[in-house]
Amino acid sequence: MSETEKEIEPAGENDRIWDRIGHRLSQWKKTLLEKSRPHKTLHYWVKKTFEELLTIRVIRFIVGLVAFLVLFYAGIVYVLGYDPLMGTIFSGVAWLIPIFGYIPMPFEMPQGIAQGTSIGFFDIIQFLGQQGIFPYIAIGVLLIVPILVGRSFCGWICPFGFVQDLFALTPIRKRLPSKQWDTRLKSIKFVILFVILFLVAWLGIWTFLGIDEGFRGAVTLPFATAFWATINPASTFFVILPYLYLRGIVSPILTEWNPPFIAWGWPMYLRLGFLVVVLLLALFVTRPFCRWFCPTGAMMGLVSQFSFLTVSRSATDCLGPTCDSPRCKSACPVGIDVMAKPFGPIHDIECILCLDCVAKCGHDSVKVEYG
Amino acid sequence: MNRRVIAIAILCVGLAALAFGISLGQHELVRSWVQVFSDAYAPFFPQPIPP
Repeated sequence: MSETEKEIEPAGENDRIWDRIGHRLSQWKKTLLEKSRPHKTLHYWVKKTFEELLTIRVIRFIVGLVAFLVLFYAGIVYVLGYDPLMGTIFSGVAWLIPIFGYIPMPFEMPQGIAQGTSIGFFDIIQFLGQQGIFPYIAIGVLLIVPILVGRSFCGWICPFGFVQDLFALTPIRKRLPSKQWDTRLKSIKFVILFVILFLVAWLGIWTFLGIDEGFRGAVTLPFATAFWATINPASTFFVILPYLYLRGIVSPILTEWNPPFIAWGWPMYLRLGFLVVVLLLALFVTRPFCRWFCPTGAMMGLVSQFSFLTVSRSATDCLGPTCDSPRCKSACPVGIDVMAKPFGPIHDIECILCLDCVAKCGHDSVKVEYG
Repeated sequence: MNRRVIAIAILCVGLAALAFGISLGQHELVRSWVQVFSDAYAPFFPQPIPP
C-alpha cells in the first residue's frame, strides 16, 4: 500500500462514520418533525383558517360592514322600497331600531341621520345641552364605554370610520405628513371639541335664563340645535347626501317635510367641500377624519387613557430598536409609533384599538390586555 | 393616583349618571329626537309580521 493510500483510508473510515451520524440525525429530525406536525384535524383547519385568512384586518372589516348594515337597516329598507329580510329569521333586526333610539351611540352617529335609527352621544350632548338640560345619559355613555373598551367602537363599529377604511383600500401609496405636522393637525379636533362645548354651555345657560331668543335668531335654528352637525362630514355623508338624493328623485314625503338645514347656499357648499376634502385625504392618509377632526373621538380619547382594555408592548418579547421587522411602526392607522412607547400598556388618546399593530408584529410582542 | 383607581372612579360616575338620566326619563328625550327623523320614514319601515 502506498503512503498516499494509507493516508486516505482513515479519512474514508471517518467519512463513513460521519455519514452514519448524519443519517441518524436526519432520521431523528424527520421523526421529530412528524411528531411535532399537527394532524390535519378540524381544529388544525380552523386554526389555519383563522391564522391565514381571517386576519384581524379582515375580521375588523367584516364587523364594520355588519355594523354598517345593521345601523342603516332602515335606510336600506327605504332605498330598496321593501324589507329584504322580511319573513326570514333575520327580520328581527328591525327590533334593534327602537332599541338604538334610546341609547346614544359611542361613536360619530350624526344628528338627523336620514334613516332615523340612532344618534351619537356627542350630538345628544349638543341637543340637550343647548336646551339647558344636563345630558346625563350621554355623559354616562361617554364615561362608561371608553373605560370598559377604550376607543374600540371608533376602530371597529363607527360607520364613518368604515367609509374611510373603504377609501384606504384603494391602491394608492399612503403619504403621511411629518411627525411635527401630524401632531399639529391632531390638535384640530380638540379645538373643535372645546369650541362646540363652549357654545353649547353658553347657549344652555342663556336658555336656562330665558335670554336665548336673540342668539337663536341670529345664528338660525339648525346651527343653534346642532353646532357640529352643520359642518360634520359624517353628517353630510349619511344625512345630507341621502336627503338630496331622496328629495330630488323619489320622495314626495320629504318635499312636505323639508328640513331647514337642507338649503343650497354657502353653508351647503362649505360642508360638501369639507366632506370632499376628508374623502380625498382618506385616499392618501389612513383615517384622516379620526386622526385630525373628530371631536367625538377626541372626547372618548380623553377618557380612554384610563381604559381597562389596552394594547401592550411586551418587555420580554419586544426587541426594540434591534427588531429585524419593525412593522408595528407603520401599522397604526392613526399614526402611533408603538416602538417609541414605553414597555407595558399603551395609554394613548389616539389609539382606536384596531389591533393592526398586534397583527403586524412578527414577534408576538404587542398584545391585547385587559385590567 | 393609581390609573386603575381613577378608571373605577370614572366608571362609577358614569354608571351613576346613566342611572340618574334614565330615572329622569332622558332616554325618552333621546328617543324623541331620533323619532323626529324616523317618523318621516315611517311608511317605509318594515311592518311586524303577524303571529
